Amino acid sequence: MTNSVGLPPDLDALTILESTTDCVCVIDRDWRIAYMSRRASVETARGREFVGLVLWEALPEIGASAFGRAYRQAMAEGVPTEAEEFYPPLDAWFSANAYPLPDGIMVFFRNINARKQSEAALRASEERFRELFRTLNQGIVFHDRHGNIIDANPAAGHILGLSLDELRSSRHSGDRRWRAVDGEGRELPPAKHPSVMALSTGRTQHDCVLGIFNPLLDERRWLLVDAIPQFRLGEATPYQVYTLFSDRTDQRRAEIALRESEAHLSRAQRVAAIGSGEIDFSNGSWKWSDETYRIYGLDKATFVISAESIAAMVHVEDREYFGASVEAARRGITPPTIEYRIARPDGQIRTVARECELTRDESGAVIGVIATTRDVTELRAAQRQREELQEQLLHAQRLDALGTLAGGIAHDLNNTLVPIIALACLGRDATRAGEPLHADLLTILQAGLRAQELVQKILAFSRKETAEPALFALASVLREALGMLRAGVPSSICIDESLADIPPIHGDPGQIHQVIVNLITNSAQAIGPRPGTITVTLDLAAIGAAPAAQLAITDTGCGMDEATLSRALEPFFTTKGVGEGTGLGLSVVHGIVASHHGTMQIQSRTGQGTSVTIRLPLAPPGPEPAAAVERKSNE
Amino acid sequence: MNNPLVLVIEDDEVVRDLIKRLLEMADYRVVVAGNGREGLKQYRLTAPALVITDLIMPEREGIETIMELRKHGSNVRILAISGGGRIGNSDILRVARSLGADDILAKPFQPVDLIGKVQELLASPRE
Repeated sequence: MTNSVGLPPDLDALTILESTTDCVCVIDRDWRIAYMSRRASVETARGREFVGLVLWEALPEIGASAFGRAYRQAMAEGVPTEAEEFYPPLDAWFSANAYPLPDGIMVFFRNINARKQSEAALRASEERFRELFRTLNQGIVFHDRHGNIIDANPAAGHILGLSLDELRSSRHSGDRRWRAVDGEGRELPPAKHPSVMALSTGRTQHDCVLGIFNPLLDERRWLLVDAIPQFRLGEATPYQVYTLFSDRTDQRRAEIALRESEAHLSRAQRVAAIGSGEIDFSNGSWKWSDETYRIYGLDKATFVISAESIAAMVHVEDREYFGASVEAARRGITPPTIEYRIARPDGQIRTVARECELTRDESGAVIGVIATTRDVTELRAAQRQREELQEQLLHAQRLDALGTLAGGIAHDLNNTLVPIIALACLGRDATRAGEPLHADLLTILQAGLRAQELVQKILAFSRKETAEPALFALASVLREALGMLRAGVPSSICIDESLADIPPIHGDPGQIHQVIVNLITNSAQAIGPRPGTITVTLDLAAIGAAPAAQLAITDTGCGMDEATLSRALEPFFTTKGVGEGTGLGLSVVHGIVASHHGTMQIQSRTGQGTSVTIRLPLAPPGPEPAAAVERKSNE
Repeated sequence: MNNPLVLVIEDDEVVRDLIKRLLEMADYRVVVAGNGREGLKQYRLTAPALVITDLIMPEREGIETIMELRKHGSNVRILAISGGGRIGNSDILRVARSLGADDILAKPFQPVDLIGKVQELLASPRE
């Protein structure tokens, strides 16, 4: 340090220079380096070895650099200069300030690598941001604290149908030209615009649906808008806000179309009474359509749908079957259409039919089931009824055919029996008892008479009309018949009678007598040689609204199984051995009851006996109705 | 030959011959016809005291024969016999009685029943 460069001679100044973070050096008029601060010697990595050397010789690369030019200018013109440049020998950026001294210059220089790097990073960041701002397909609009638009990106202009200049000249994003409406289509006042709301409340406005009129497309577009207020440090009110928005028109139209399609499907399901459902095996979740809830009689809002809650609604007898169908689907087997009963909360038992299709992922693995559900309760009931009617019709046709056949056979048989019986009689009378021929002829006669009896039964079955109708008391016919029957029924069988005195009925007492004989005979045969009871009761009852006599004959015999019971009324159907019965008894009874406009019911269980209940309409009050005869013969 | 003459109208030859034989055994004179048309002809030719007619026959039904006889004011005694048919034996015989038969007899019958009816009818002339 010399005074030749005019440096202050005091030591304090030197101390200050040594302690500064800048590098300092002093160069005299002869370009000799007179002083280098400690920091400068560290930065140049050469210590103070340059002191006393001529600058251009010690560091020749300085000469042509911006630094050299600045130093020469400061030295020559006596003005402060500055330079900034990359300095290759030290592989770093430096800036330098040269200040004229009376006999030289003082240079302050510093390594600015760090500053240069952050400047470059900032520039790159700004560049990226500008690029993003420019190319983003979401619209971005910046507003100042008054709501004026201060910047907008090209996407904003595109979405709103305005040029950037037009946008920037807009008062704010609540511009009336946009005819903004809210998500429900109601006019949106400027004060309610998301950007204005963000400014006034200081809170971010998220996911606001906004409809605006796009003048370029000449239609309304639907936007999803976020408005974010921005604050300066320490300030409570935003200094600006930016809105970020995207055009959701296509999505919104798709959503509306989807909603309409769903509503349409729901309506179609309601009309067809077909519900649908899905099971997702990945999480075990079930999903039902509205119609399925309706079929199950459930409230969608309160029913917690799950495999368990649904299974609990299935009729207990069908639950295993239902569960097996779901399990089959889970294993990848398409379940067949199944029908099962459900117990609805309102107490109704309904029958539903379910058809399934498996859902698979791209690899073909089963991931769920889609199913339709149909209420087939009425359908099945109607089918059952139709089948029953068909069966009844078939039965009636069979009976009718048998009747015709029986009538024809009876006529011919009766003619055939005339010579058999008559000649057997003649032969019997012409022979003496004890002669072999006499006994043979008696056998022929007996066989003939039995055949005659059989034919009479056939005719009774095929007969359509009643005999001479008359008013008579059923109880007296019953007593008379029972009196006669008691003699023929084994003593091990007890006949109990409980006969109420009821008004007379209109009909053929002979036929009713036959009814009683046939039924008691059947009962006695059903009881057989064992002890038993036949109970005969006569009471008042009704057929529909009309008063009727009810005759019930109940025995403690062997009873009938279902198959036998279902055929009990068929002519010639019998469970008795050959020669024991003709199979006509009950069908004759049925025919007589029907011709008296009565009803007949048979209840029977194997081993528990049989009960036959007959109802015959009571005669209308008044004198013998001659009209009744006429009516019948006109049938 | 003062024994009464009986006309038997019956399509079944075996039955017809049998009735003839039973009547002859009981000393009645007998003429026979195989159907209603022939029966009416025989009636006009022979003027019998009693007509026994089957009810269900080809050519002319027995009931029609009875009505034809009564239409011409004949007071001949008529016994209707039948083996029945689709509508039942007792019914058709009842109808025959109401249309002019004096008595009825269901087939098959024993000789004693037939002869009994014939004797009864011939003993009580029609008023």
